[in-house]
Amino acid sequence: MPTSTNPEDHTSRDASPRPPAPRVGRRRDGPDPEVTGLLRAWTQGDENAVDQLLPLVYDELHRLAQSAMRGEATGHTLQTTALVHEAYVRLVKADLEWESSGHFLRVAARAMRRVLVDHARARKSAKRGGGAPMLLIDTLEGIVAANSPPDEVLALDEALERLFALDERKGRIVELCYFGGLTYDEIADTLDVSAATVHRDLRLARAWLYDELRDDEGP
Amino acid sequence: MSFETTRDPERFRLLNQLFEVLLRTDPARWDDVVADRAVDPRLAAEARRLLMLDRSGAPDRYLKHLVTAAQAVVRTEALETDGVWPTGD
Repeated sequence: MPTSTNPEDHTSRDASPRPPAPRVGRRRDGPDPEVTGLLRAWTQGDENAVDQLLPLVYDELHRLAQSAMRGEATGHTLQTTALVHEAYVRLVKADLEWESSGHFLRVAARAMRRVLVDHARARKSAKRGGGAPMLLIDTLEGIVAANSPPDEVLALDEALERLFALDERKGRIVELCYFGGLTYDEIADTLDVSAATVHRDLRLARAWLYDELRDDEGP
Repeated sequence: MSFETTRDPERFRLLNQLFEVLLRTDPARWDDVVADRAVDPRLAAEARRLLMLDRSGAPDRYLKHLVTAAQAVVRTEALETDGVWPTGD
């Protein structure tokens, strides 16, 4: 497994500005036995399985994101929730019990975060290198992108890492909510806590992140 | 500026504890709660600031905005890959 693409790695930063190319020859038309096997292993307590699982889910989400964006009309935004669930259907289908589904959603939210952050990093690198293309900004999302440089996305990623170090559950809840697009109830099921706990944790977590990001802006 | 909670898990735990207590308390009684618990004034100030931010809705809007921006980058790159946008080559 290439370590540079390990999305679970909280500390390392990929030296390559580009996301890894999708693996060739992956099975697309049914449950992926490698994914389901790793999910089962993780559910049964094998924490190492997650390291092998993340790149597989990353590849699938990255491929789905690219495909979805190419096929959509101008003005369409990436439907994170739909992609995560589509990845689940494609890779796992109904082959696993719910506990494993929750594990999958955790991995998928992490992988989706990596997809978005890797693209932001690549965009930043391209701009720094002077190779960025001139883009016509004629959509709301284009305006949002233009006003939110990749730096801010990368700063969020780093602040989220700090939150993970302080309180892993809160970090995971933010990841599942904003990057995975899960509802409070889905997050609660995935983490085996109440929806009220999710809501409470989220209130402090996002206020703290916002405060951190404002601090990063400097005087 | 965030207090030591930025790096210290124990301070963050105390902040979380106070935040949750104040969340359930009428703001008019926040001073009493802080005084009763003899909380570090800087920690109390940070908890209050985060509570006010939470009430403003700004953190949620900002996080959604950033994720949307990140998604827009994916879209832009997908379009470039497909040759719909000029690549500058």
